[in-house]
Amino acid sequence: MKITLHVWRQPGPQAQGRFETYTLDNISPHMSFLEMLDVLNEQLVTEGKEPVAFEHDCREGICGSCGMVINGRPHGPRRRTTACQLHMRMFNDGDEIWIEPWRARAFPVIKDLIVDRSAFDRIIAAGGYISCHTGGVPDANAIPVPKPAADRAFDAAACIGCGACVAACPNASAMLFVAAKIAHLGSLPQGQPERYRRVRRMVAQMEAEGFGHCSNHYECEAACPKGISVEYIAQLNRDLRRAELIGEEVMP
Amino acid sequence: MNDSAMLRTTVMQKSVVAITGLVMVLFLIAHLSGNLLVFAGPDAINSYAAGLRDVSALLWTARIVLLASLVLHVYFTVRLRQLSREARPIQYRMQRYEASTFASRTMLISGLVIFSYVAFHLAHFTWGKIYPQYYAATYFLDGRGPVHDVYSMVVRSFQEWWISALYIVAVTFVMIHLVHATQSALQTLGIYHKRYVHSIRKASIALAIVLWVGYVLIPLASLTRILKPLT
Repeated sequence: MKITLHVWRQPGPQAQGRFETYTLDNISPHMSFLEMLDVLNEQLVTEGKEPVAFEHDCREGICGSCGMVINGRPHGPRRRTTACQLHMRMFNDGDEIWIEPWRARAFPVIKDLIVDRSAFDRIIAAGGYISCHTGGVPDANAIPVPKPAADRAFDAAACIGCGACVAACPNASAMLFVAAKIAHLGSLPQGQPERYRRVRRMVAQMEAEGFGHCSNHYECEAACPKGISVEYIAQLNRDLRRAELIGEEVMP
Repeated sequence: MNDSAMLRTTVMQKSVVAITGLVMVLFLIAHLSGNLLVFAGPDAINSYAAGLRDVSALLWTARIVLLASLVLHVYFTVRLRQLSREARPIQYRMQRYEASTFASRTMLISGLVIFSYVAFHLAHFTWGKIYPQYYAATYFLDGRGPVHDVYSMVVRSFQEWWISALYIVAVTFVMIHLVHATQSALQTLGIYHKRYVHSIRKASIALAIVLWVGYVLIPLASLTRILKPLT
C-alpha cells in the first residue's frame, strides 16, 4: 500500500506546530497503525531527521497510552478500537491520512503527538479511590456485592483513561472519563462511604483543569475504545446534585 | 464548600439550563394548545384569551416563571459556552462527527435566534406595537360583552406575508433547537436507562416536529385564507 501522511509536528510545548507530509510505499495491510508509524520513523532516522514522537506501551488496547486523532476521529475510523489495535487494512491504497494530537487546553502537547494527560491523574488523586485500612487479607466474599452492581462497576472500570472522550468532545469535556470512575467506585459497596465526597472533589478538579462542559453531543461514547456509556454521565449528574443539594453524608 | 457556591460547577449550571429549558418546552405545548383554538373559531379563542386575563394572578405567575427561566437559560448557556470555547484553543484540522447532530452543535445559534424573535413576538402580539390597528380590534362575546379580538389580530397579522415568513423561520429554529433539547435536558437530569433511552431520544425529535407542524399551521391557514378575518 502507498500512504500519504500529514502528521502534526511540534518540537516542544511552547513551540509552534504544523503539519508535515510524508509518503510511505510498501505498507502492508497487516501492519498495525503504530507499526506503520514505526516504519515512518525508521525512514526519518535513516534520512537523519527527527522521528515522530507518539505514545505507546502495551500495543494490545488495554493501557490507554496510544492516543491520536486519525482522520478526524480519536483512535481512527474503527469503532471500539485503540490506535494500536487499528490495522492498515482499514485504509485503502493511496489514502491520505491526517494525524493530530488530542486537542484540549487541559492536555498540552509535549511533543508531536504526545500530550500531557496528568490532568487525569490529578482528577483521580482528588477522589478516584476508596479509603480502607491495611491489615490482614480479608476473606474474598466477606462483602456481598449484588451481581448487577458488580456488572455495572466492571463495565465502567473498562475505562483505560486514554482521553479519547476529551478529544472527541466538541467542548473538550472530560465528563465521560470522570463519570466512568464515579460509576465504577460508586456502584460498589466499598465505594459508598466516600460516594458523594468523591463526586464533588473529582468534578471540582475536572473543572479546575480547564476541561469544557458536557452538552450531550455523545461524541465521547462513540469515540470511546471501551464503549463506556453516557449512562454514567447521567449517574454523575445525579450523584453530584445529591451531594450539592443534600450533602456529602451517606444515609444508611 | 458552602451552599452559596452550589452553582459553581458546570454540572449544576447545566441542571439549571435543563430545568428552565423543560419549563419552556411545557410552555410551548400549552401555548400551541391555546393557539390551535383559532381553528375552532373566534368565539373559542377569544373567550379562551379573555379567560386567561381573568385569572391574572395565575397568568402573571406563569409570566414571571417563564421570564426567569428564559433569563437563567440564556445566561448559563452563554457562560458555559464561553468556558468550553476556551477548553480547546487549537481546533482540529479535520474533525469527523459520529454521534452529535447539526442541532446539537448549533444550540447556541438557534437559541439566540429564538431569543431575539421572542422579543419581536411579544412586541407584536402582547404589546401590540407592530400592527396596532389589528391589535385594537374588539369582539362581542355572547354573555360577556366586548373583549380583545385575538382571532382577527392573529389572522390579519399572518396575512401580512412577512409576519408569517418571519414566524415560520423562527418556529423552524425552535424545531432545530428542540431536536436536541428535550432528550439532552433529561440526560442532564440523570433520567437514563438502556431500556427507554432510545424511546426518549425518538420522542424528543417527534415532539419537535409535532410542535413545528402545529405552530406553522396557523400562518399557513391564514395566508391561504382557510382562516378568514371577521369583516
